[in-house]
Amino acid sequence: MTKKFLFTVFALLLAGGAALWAADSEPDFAAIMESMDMRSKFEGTDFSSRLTIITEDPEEGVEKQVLNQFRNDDADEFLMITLEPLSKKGQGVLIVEDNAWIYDPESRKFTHMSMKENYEDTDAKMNDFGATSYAEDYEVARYAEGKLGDYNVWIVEWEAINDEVPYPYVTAYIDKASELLLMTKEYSLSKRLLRSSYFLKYARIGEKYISTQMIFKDETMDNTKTTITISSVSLDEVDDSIFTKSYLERVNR
Amino acid sequence: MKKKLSVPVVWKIAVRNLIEHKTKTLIIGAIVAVGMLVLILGNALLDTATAGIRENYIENFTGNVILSGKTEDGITFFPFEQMMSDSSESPITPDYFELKEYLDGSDMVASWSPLISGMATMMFSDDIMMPTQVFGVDIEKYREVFPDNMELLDGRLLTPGESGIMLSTTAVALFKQANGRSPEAGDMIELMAMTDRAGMKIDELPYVGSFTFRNAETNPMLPMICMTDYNSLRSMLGMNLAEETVLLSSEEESIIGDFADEEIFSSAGDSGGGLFADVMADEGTNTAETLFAEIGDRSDVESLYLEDSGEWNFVTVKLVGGVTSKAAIKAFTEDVSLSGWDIQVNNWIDGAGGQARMTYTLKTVFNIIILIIAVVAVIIIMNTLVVSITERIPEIGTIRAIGGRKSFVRKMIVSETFMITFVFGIIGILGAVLILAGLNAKGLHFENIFLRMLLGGSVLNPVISLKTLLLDLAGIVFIGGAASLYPTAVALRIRPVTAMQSN
Repeated sequence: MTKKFLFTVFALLLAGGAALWAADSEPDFAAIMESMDMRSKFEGTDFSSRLTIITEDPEEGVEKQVLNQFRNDDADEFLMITLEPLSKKGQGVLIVEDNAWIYDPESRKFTHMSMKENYEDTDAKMNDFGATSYAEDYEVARYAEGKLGDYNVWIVEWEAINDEVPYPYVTAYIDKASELLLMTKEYSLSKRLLRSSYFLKYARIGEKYISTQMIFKDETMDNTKTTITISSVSLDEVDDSIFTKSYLERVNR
Repeated sequence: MKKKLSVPVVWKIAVRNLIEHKTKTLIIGAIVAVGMLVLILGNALLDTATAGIRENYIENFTGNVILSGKTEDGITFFPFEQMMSDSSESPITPDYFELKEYLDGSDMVASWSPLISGMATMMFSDDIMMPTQVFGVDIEKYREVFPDNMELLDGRLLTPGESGIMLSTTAVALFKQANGRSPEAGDMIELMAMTDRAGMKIDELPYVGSFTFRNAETNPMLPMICMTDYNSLRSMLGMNLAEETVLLSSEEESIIGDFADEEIFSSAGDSGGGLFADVMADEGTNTAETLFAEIGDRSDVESLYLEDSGEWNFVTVKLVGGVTSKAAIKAFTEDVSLSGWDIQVNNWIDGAGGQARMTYTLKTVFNIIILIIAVVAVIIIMNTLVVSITERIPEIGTIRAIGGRKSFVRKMIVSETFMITFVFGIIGILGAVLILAGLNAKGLHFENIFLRMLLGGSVLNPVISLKTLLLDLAGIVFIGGAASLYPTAVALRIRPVTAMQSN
C-alpha cells in the first residue's frame, strides 16, 4: 500500500514536473503569434499616424517620403496619402478588405494593385503597413532559444500556410520578455534570404503595440534599405468617408 | 643552283611517299578535309548570323552609335534586362540641348533621334494586365533614322505632336482577351508606371494603331514594345519634373548606412530607451481636415513641371556611308570629353541587349571549340606522321647514308605534310562551298525560337567571304606545319647506321 502510494506520488510528481518543464521549454507559439496579431490590431478604435520613409539605394541615393496613414482595423480599411516629396504629393493607396487601389492625383485616376507588391520603390511591402496576421499566415516549423544583442529571444522558423504572403519562409526573433517581434529574416521558396526586417522601437498604446521604427533591408542588393518611422500616433475616430476613392479625389483639389 | 634543283626532287619523293602510304595519307587528309569543311560551314553560319543581326539592329533599333548617360551597369534598350541588373531605370543623357547642336553640325552623322525607354504596366481590366516596355519617341526624328523598321498592322502611325500609343502584338492580344474585340481608334489604354522620381503614375493614352518591328522573331522582347509620344512617357516616368532636394534631420541622418544585426539590438547600437519609444497618442493631429489643408492646393506641385526637360535615355545615331562605327565612336568620345559632357558613347551592340550579344558570344565559343579541335587534330596528324616515319626508318636512313642531308629529310617531311593539308584543305573548301551554295539557294529555315534568336532570323542564307576562306586555308596549313614539327625531329634523329641494322 505504502509502496503503491509512493509510486503514485512519484508518478504524479514526474508528470507534473514534465508538464512544468514542457510548459517552460515549449512555449505556445500559436498563442504568441495570435497575441502579436491582436496587439497590432486596433479593434474598437481607429488609428492614424504619420510615416517617414527613408530609402537608401546605392544607385539612386537617399530619398525621403512623408505619408499620412489611417486605419480602421475593424472594417479592414486602410488609407495612405503622400505629403512629401512634392512630386508625389497627394498620391494615395486605399485598401478596403482585399481590394487595393492606388491613386494618381495628376491624372486623377485609380488602378488596382496587389498586396504582395512593394510600396513604390521601397523595400516595404503593402502588408507591412497594417495590422499583422502571423497566426493566420504561418505555422511554426522549428524553434530555438538565443540572444539578439541585449535581448533573450525565441528564434522561430515559420512556414507559410497560404500563398497570400510575400515570403513563404520566415525566421522570427521574438523578445522573450515582451513577446514582441524584434527581427525577421524572410526567405524565398528556394530558401534564399530576400529581406531582413528590424522592429527597433514599439509604442505602447493601452493594450496595443505598434512598431514606430522599422528597417527593411533588401538582402538581394548591397546597401539597400528602407527605414520607416512612425510619429503623431492618434486613436481619434476617423470618419468613414476617408476610406473612399472620393476622399482621395476631394483631398487633391 | 644545286639547291633550286633539289626542290622538285623533294616534292617528287614526297608525292611518291604519300601515294605509297595511301592509308595514312587518307587518314590525315580526311581529318584535314572534314576540319576545313566544319570550319568553313561554322564560320559561314555565324558570320552570316552576326552580319544579319548587326544590320537588323542598326537599321531597326539602335543605329550605328548610341549616346547615353554614364553608367557602370551597361546600357540596354530593353528595360526588362535593366531590371535584372542593380539599376532598374535607364540613365538619362545629360547636356541634351548641346548634344543636339553638335549632332546637327557633325558631318559624320546622317540622322539621329532621341529615345526614352521605360517600363509600365498596361491595365486592360482588373485581372488582365501586362508589364510592358514603352519607347517614347519624337516620331518625326525617329522615322528619319528608322524609316522602315515598323510594319503597321492596324490604324496608323503617331503623328508629330500627337499624344497616343501604338500597341505591340502582345498588347493587342491581351486587349482582345479583356474586351472581346480588337482595339479601335479612340480606345483609351490605361498605363501605370512606378519610378523613384514620380512615384505611382497612372495615365490613359488614346490607341492610335498596332505594329510589329521588322524581324521581330529574332528577339522575344520586341513584340512587347509599345510606342508612345515622348511627352506622355516622360510624364509617366517623371522625367518632366525638376529635381527636389532631400532634406534630412540630424536624427534621420544618423540612421543612414549599414549595420550588423547584433549591434542594432545592443545598448551600444540602440538609439536609447530600450524597446519602447516614448510615443504618446496625439489628438487631432491627423484628421481629414488637416490633410485638406496640407494637400489641397496643388499649385506648388505644378511648379515642379518643366516645359521641356530635355531628358532622354538614349540618342541613336545613323552614320553617313563610309564612316565606320569605330571611327565615329573615337571622334565622338574625343569631342564629348573636350566639351566636358558626362556622356557615354556606345556601340550599337551595347543597346541591342543580351539576345544580340549572345550570337557574338557564341561565335567566340565556336572559335574556342575550333581551337580545341585544332589541337586534337595536330596531335592526331602528328601521331600518324610519327608512325609513318617509324615505318620509313630504313628509307630515311638510306637517304642519309647515301649523302642526304638533314635539311633534305626535313624538306621531304614538311613537303608531305604541306601537300596533304593543302590538297585536302582545298577538297574541304570545295565541299563546304558546294554545301553552302545549296544552303544559300534553298535557305535554312528555323521554327525554333532559340535558333531564330541566335541566328538573327527565321531564314538564313549563309555566305562565306573570300577573306574567311583564305584565312581558314592558311589556318589549316599552319596546323599541318605545326603537326609536322615533332615527326620531322624524329626523322632527323635517324642515323644512317640504323638503316643497315634493320631489315
